[in-house]
Amino acid sequence: MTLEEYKKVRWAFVVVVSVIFSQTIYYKNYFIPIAVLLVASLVHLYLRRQVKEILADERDYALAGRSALMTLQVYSWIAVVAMFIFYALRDINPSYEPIGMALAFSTCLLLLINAFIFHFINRVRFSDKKLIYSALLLALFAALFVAGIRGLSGEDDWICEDGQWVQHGNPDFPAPETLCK
Amino acid sequence: MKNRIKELRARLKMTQEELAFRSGVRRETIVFLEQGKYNPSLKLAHDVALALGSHIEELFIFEKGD
Repeated sequence: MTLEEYKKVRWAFVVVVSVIFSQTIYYKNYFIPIAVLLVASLVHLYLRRQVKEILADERDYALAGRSALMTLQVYSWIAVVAMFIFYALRDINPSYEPIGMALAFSTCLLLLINAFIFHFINRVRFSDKKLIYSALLLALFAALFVAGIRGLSGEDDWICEDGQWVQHGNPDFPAPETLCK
Repeated sequence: MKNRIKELRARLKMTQEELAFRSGVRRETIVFLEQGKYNPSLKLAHDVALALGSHIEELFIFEKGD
């Protein structure tokens, strides 16, 4: 496969995956997007291997590193400012509060992931214990995946029914204080 | 840092695409290298020199302040 063909296939692939993602989330199905994400990653890896030409070299990687760092900084600033605005406006609309909270936590999570990956690459690149570190990373991803599926499954939660919060499963947190409509 | 990549490549009648392929980089990187807008890693400098049948010290000219 030539580089041009690969680029075209990748564009088509992105469109198809985006449509599946948006449609399944719209219909409140969260398992299909996770499965699609996994399959898409594998197919993308396969496609990359089919290209005989050079897709990226050291200059691209250097630029990618710098752009990733700048993206992190720009996103963090935007998210933090937006978070304060949403928090300030929570009396106007209560739904602004969770949005602000999601932005704040997403920034923390992003910075944590960045720090973790940086230290992981740093250790792995200069270490003889590549297999152990890779196994640890795989175990961590597996744990996160399981936790994510459990979180999205809707088990052990409070459900709003006829104006009252009804226990579903065994949630380890009290019923929400917000009004159930 | 100056370099003689363009000069040596012309002497060998080699295209940028060809040199890029032999050095294991994209053509764009060769363009930036020739214009002196990108400082390569030691490995890339070595690979480019090898592709041009030269040596790093002949290909790249280091000056004070580089």
